[in-house]
Amino acid sequence: MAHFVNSKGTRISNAIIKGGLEQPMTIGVYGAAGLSVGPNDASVASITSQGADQNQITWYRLTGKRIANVMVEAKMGASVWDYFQLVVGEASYYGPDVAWAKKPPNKDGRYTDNPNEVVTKNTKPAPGDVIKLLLASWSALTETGARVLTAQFMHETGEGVHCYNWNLGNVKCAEHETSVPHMYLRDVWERFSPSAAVQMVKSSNGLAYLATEEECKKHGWTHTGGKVIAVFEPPSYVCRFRAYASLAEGAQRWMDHHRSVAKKFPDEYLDTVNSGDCAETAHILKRAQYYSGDEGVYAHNMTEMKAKIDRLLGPVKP
Amino acid sequence: MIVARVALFAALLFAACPRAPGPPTATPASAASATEWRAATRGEVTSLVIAGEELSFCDEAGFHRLALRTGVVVAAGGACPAPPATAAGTPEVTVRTPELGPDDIVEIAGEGTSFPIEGHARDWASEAGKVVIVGTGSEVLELLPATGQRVRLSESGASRVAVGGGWAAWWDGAAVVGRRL
Repeated sequence: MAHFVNSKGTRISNAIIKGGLEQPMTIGVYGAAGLSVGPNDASVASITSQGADQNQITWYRLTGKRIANVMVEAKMGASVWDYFQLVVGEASYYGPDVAWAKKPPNKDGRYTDNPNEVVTKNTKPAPGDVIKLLLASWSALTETGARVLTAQFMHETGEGVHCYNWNLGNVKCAEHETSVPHMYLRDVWERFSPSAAVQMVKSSNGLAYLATEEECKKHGWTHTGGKVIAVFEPPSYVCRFRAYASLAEGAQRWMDHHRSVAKKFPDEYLDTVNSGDCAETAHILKRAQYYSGDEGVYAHNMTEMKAKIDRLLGPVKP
Repeated sequence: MIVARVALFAALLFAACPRAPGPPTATPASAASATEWRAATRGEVTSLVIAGEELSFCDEAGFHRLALRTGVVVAAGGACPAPPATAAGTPEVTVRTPELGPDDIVEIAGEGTSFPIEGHARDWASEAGKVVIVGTGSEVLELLPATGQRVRLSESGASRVAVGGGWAAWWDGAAVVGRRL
């Protein structure tokens, strides 16, 4: 029997569903073949079909046109097979349901049909491999120095837990940059003034929403000074990041940048790194504006990571 | 008197008519100094390039070529050229999002100092790494690696930026803006 479902596939037959003025929402009809689907008053809401999926659900985009209530029906001739009531009110941009085009990845694990998109996979580099790579490509670096830089990398990526497709440090793609290997990461958040945030959500084609306070607490997203948080979801271009084929390829930019820091601070950086002094290395990196967070925290975390590497690999051979 | 009324009527009629497809109209910020101009766009701008003395872009009305210094239309309405298949953005500039936080850091090849920015970069362009233009959701920045300086070019965001010939350009969602640097 045909019935209405919401964007998550949950049945909404006979229910009262809230919608926003000029704010599209996704609904579906299970077994819609042969039925006409839409509001019984076209002046209140408009509907466009998005096509059927493999689960016999035909998806629609329903958009409120004026503040009023309307029955949305699935009919065959004059016979109503299923319905729900749409209450069109003022638009709200808070909460993930506002991101009406947000969807899980396709069956192949990708969000788009772009041949350059690769499936997002966690790639956790082993500290020993990073050290080998550093020593092979930077002759001025001692094994102690390589351990310090590996500690820095491990801190930046949460010991590799947040490293995907060998992208060390979440290197981004520009808005139009789709011709290079790339991937999508979820829940990319950003702070805006309230008016700019609403504009961002409106222009995101259903791929962004404003975070509720509950979500901010859950994810540890902080905002002050009257700003609000906009969250972007794949396949928004804001969520597009570079994907690399190997650790060696992904680490190239990271190593090059450390070489540039060494060039910028010729009398300090390399000697400090090679001496194993994580706190002073963190201090120079702060001066190079490598990171914008708290220096004390950065130094502490690097020191802890270095100790962990030393425990894992044993003492440096003379 | 009649002439004035006819002119006023014509002006009102022009203002009331919906915008017809056609070439963009450039509006200098000030008649006395052409240091900035705006050219209205239709729909999404899908490319923005500065080459020599010209700026070109594509929007729903087609391909447009403008004089870089004035924003005056040189040619408009043709088909958009296909983007190069191997376009790899701006290789000398890297933008990363540390810990997937709310802000980005811009790195320029060969420069030891980075530029932390507020928010996420949407697009960036570089003139041989000497001048870098970055568009975020809420501003357009000019970064100068040699001095470490940053200049805020706009308090509106931009998802397309370009730089060249001493000029920066960006698309703010409604118009392409050209600004002498």
